[in-house]
Amino acid sequence: MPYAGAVSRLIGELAKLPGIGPKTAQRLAFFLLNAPPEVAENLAGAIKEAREKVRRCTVCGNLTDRETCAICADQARDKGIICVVQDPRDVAAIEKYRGYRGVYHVLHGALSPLAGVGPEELNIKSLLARLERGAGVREIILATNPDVEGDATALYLARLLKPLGVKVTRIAHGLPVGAHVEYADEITLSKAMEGRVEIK
Amino acid sequence: MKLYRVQAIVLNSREMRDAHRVLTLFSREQGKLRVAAHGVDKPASRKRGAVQPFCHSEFLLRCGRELDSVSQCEGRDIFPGLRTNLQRMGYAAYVAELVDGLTADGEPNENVFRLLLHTLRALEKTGDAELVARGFTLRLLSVLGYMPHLNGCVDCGGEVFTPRARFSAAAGGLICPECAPGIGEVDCGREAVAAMKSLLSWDPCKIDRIRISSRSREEIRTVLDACVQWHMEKRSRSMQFMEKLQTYLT
Repeated sequence: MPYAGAVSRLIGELAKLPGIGPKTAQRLAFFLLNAPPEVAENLAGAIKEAREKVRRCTVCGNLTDRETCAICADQARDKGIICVVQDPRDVAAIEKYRGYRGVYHVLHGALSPLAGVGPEELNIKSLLARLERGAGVREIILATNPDVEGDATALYLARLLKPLGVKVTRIAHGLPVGAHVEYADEITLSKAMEGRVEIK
Repeated sequence: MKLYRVQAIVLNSREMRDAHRVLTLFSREQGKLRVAAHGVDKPASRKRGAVQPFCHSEFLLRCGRELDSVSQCEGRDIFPGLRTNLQRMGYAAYVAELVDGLTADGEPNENVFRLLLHTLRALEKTGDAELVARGFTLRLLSVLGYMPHLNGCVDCGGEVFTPRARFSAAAGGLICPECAPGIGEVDCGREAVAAMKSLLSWDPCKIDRIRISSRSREEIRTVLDACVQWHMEKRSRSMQFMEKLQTYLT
């Protein structure tokens, strides 16, 4: 690389990020070098702080900078309903709609028969421990993605959790808002028909 | 901008930045292809349903510099029954992985395409997904020219049951004690050999009617796993997944 050691190292480190190729890494590096010094310092500080402080919540596995995340620590939340999601970003998406008042459990992935990802690679043991420990869990909502991996995970969890006597539900599948019935596939339409509701 | 049409089954799908995916297709016209499907992870994508793994769909593909991409697609058989049963889903992943692992890019094979489609249809309804998958493995090995020799010793042609036979994936079939090199062979009984011959000749939709003892099932599994591993040069990921599930659910 035709750059001095430090610049070359910065480009190399940036190029390790997902979706960043060598040209983009070069552009980002020169932006940081040409911007006021505090831009680079703030970015470096934010990355360092996040890496040092952010960890998994000891209860649900969501990312937090405390021992337990804000949702698990919130006394107003209904601890009797646990929504199981694949990723911390799914928690953020569900929280955005403000209608759910239960708590979460983050699996950090999904079972994949095609990639050979098995149950031991997911945060499932802590979910079982949570059910054994905390009395009063009435319902587990499986909010995994409606694809092969998400369906496999939901089917596996249902087989694992139902014998424990807890109600296990799966989020509804169907047509997204703004979609056209004409373009919907067979599975989506059959799920949409199954989950139809009466207009009040 | 060149467009072409193929009829294909989705063997695999992996993430490629944001909402895009790289699909591995087995097409009737061009054999195995890798194509990009842009934006298919977005909820509003019109292509989303037809690009899910194991779907049999019609694709209109656009030629690209590195990867061709999906311009339009429409599902023909979505196989919803494969997604409501963990065992069926696991074995569907296994048959898709075998086709992906044992075929070369861009080599059409009508027999493999029809066999895969017929097997996915059988898996969707069967009461014994394991046997359907074993039958598929034998047929696929046969169609591709890798069929293990099950009539006498693969080396000398002599008797192999003394009283039990040995199977050598490296030698390509059953082997007698005199010819066996003694490396990596697995045990195989008379019933398991007869069952494999039945699995090869029966219609996949009726294969669940064959009665096989649990011991012979285990022997067939060991023999076919050894065969697949030898030809793919790696262990099947989906079979490892199924083994992990069995461990965790029992």
